[in-house]
Amino acid sequence: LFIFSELDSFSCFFLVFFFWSNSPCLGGSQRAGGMSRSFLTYNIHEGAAEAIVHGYRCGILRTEDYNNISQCDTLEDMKLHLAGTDYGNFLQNETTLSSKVITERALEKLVDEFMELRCNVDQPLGEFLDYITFDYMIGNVLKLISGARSGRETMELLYKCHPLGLFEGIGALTSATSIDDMFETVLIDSPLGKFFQRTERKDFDEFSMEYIRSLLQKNYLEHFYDFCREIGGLTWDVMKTILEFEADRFVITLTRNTYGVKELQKDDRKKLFPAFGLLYDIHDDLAMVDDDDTLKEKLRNFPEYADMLEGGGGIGHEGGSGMSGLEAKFTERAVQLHKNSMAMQFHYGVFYSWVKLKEYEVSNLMWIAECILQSMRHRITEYITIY
Amino acid sequence: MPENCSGLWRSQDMVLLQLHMQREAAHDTILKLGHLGCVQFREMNVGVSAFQRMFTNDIRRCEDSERRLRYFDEQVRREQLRHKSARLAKVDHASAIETLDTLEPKLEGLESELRELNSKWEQLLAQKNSMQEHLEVLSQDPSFFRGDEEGDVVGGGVDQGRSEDQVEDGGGPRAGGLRYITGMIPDDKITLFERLVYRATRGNMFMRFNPAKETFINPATGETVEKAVFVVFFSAQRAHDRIQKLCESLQASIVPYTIGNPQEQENGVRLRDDMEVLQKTIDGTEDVRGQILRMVQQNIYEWKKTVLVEKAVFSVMNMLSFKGSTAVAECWAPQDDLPRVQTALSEAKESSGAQVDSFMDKLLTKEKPPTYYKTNKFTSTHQSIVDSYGVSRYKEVNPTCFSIMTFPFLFAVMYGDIGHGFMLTVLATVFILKEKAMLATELNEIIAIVFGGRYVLFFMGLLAIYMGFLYNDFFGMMISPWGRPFWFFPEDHAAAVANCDPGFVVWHGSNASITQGCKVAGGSPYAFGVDSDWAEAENKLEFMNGLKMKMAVILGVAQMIWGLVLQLLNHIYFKDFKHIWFCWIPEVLFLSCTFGYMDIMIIVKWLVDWPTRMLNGMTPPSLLETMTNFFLAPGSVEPKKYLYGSASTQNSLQTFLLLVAFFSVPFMLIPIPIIEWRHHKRAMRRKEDKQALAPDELVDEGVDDQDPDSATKVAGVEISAEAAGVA
Repeated sequence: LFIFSELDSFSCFFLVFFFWSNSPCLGGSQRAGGMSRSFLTYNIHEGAAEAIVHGYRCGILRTEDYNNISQCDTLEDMKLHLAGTDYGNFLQNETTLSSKVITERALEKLVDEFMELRCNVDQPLGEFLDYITFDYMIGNVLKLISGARSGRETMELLYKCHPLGLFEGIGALTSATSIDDMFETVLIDSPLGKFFQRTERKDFDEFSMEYIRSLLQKNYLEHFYDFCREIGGLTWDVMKTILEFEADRFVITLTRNTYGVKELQKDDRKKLFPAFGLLYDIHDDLAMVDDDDTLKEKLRNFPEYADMLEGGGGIGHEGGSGMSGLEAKFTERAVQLHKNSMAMQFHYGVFYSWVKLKEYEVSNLMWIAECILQSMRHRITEYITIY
Repeated sequence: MPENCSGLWRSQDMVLLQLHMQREAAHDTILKLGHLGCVQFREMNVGVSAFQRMFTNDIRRCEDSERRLRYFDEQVRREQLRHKSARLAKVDHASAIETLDTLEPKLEGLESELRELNSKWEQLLAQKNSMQEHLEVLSQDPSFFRGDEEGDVVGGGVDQGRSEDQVEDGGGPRAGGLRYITGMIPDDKITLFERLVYRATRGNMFMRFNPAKETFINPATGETVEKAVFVVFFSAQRAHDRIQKLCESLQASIVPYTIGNPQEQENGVRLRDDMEVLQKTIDGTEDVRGQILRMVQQNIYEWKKTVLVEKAVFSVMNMLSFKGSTAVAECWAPQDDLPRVQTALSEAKESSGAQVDSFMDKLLTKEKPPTYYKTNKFTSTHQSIVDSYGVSRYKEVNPTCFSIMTFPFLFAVMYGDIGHGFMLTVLATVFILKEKAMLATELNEIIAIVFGGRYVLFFMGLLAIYMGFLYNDFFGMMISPWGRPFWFFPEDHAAAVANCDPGFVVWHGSNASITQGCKVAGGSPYAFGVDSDWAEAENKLEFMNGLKMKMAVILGVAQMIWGLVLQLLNHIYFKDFKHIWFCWIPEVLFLSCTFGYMDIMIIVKWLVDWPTRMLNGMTPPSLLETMTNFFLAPGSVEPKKYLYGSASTQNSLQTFLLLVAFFSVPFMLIPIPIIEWRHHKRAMRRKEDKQALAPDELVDEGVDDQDPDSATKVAGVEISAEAAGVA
């Protein structure tokens, strides 16, 4: 008995040593910034939070679940099936069901889980999680801006905001009449302030909605990218791949959406491209592109994107969830990247990927619920396959 | 099975029953059988998804009722929060028995009534809140709206005389050239509000807050909110709209108020009167609601029970198969309870008013029946402890029979203390004596756990007392119940000569010390337990640790060996000789040749007369070292450090035991997989042969394989008749 216990502590020591000597922090690959966590210390700070998220991963609906759900005839049936999954009785207090209610409750569950994590983590993971929410904040602010521009009742818009992207004082945005006003009053010390700042001071109200959207998105991606580099370690390895893909996706989509737009000068267009990504070297060329054929020509050296354009066909080709072919291809690729990230341990990408995958799942639920309601059985299978 | 099985030793004899009943009787039958609690229903609709089943709708109805009950619960809870002093009446269970059909409309009506009342109440409350806000603003001291001293930014401007000719120009009232907005804002929004207004007006503003005297109740959530009165002064007309919008977005309410207007005080008086009237209406609404909720609270326990029972019944009914006007259920039931099942069937038939008698068939099946032990209030706790480790298979020996004693005993080995054990026994005895009274009341969660284990605790306490005597521990102190001690720890040689047995004096030589005890001259060993004189010894801790550790090892190995004996009983019962030869025997050999041997060495070492041996120049061997060398360096027992026989005897015996243990390992691991593999191969070959001979027969066989029911034979309707006769 004593021998065995001794052996145990011995092997433990050996294992610890093994991991320590293999951790990226030691093997000469010390990255920029001192924030990176090695295998040795990662679990002290983030072990529990990461384990929880890995647990949530198992709750992501699988193909079998989708098969069952898409056979349902009514939303009541759908509720019954979802009760058997991790969603449990999230609809138990609803008197009437609609796709909106299902989506809202599902999103609520995600937000609850996310907020619980957010309350229980150290820095820099806390800041990382905040970065995840910034994306949704941008979405909400844009929604309110466009609401203010079109003169709609803005309080009503507030209820339509994504719950992950709410921040203190977002309601006050409704009091402003122009974007500059919004910036001066509210946004300046909200977390989003820094995404507004990286431009030469110019009146925001002169820009089109799309321009502002692109600008914010670009700034967000760049900031996030820098932040991940600062964290370093495995997080950087994983997030680099994902964010570079996001940046490239953004560049290609932006390019395609702005063929021949007069208002957007070619060098202005380039300014909207995030300054990283696999396509960074050809940003100059891409900024000049004005039709699909040239785009394909330019992307020749990037087979995966070229293939997507090729296979995805032209605009208007219908893919999953009513997306255009190219978009569906991008989503498919993104899901793959997120799944890869979820398969690894000791990095923060897990949290990002979990939120994104859940996001896809919620939109799937909405799609299926809508299809059931409008009896569009033939299109019900066009959801995004995750696992 | 040869052994007649009853009680705890092996599982009850289980039979697979097929119950046939009229469709209408199904519900009542399941209900009756459910109350009986001794049958396990089998799924008969494998592969039918949940929403295609017959009673899914009824389950949904139950869930709907559950939702309503949750709503009532929430309302009752809020009511209790509102009236903390007036606890609602004690729950009275004696209400009429309900069924889902009668309960459902009742719940529905109550829910809509409550919701209506609540929305009315919320409206009234919101109205009252706005009045109260107005009053709060009015009740502010005039200095709040003025500066603290003459010449202040604001105060200087406010002039009582000029307030008469204030002009409403759409930009809010003005005072001394400044516009202002008054209102109320939740406490937690104050800083944000201040900051936002500051930015919106580019700093051209002055703001004041004063906490409200009373708290407000948020009509939607029923929670209390702390609010503060605010006043903002600003100059620009444009800022007015923006501040108004900011108020709106921060849930601040704007209260129109004109500074220095004497009419405002009159308004205040009128407002107060209005509010009193409103308050009466609110009280009335609350009264009605309180009555309803009290009624709900008295019944909610029964209602919940009804709904849950109905839901369970419908879930089971989803497992039945319905053919025409009959319903067929399959279930496992203990042989001994068949008469009770039969009675339940006929009773259910009566109560449901079905025309056709229900009857049951016994099915023969190759399937392994579920394990069922009949337990009582004493054994059930023990059984659940064992079950938490794993439920034994059908007809396996039930370890509970032994763990009833060994579990408390092993606990006592750790806990052993006369005093503590006594306290535990008293506690458990109180629980046992008050059992009936305590079962009738609802217990607090933690007490309920202790109460549930009262019989286990009782034995734990008794055995802890027993072990306490063995360890001679009473609240951590040693006692000497047996008079004169046997051991003596001399401080020096003289003391040793005076008190000790001559043999020990010789052995000590002149090295007598308090760490080396010696036998008292003419003393006799303690009748029971550890000698109290050890309390004085310097090496008391080492001695007691050594003793307890060795005892623990002996008990542990004994427990393992006993486990193996039970396994042997199982193998014999199931006639599994392959496992006896190639699993059980090597296991026993391995265990007894290594750790069993260690146990024997411990006992031998206790029995040896070491002083005499040491006089002959021998040293007592360390058992730990001996065991380590047993594995790592066989044959290394030193000539003057052996335990028994001689060094060479011990060496050769140990080498032999090690070899036996070593060779039993492959015997344990290899033969059974090989046998199983050959068995499987033979079975496959036989199947292939069959296929080659008669390919068309295969179809039938395939069907048989898929459907175990068609392979099972109906063993006779007479069973039910016989059972009915017994009943």
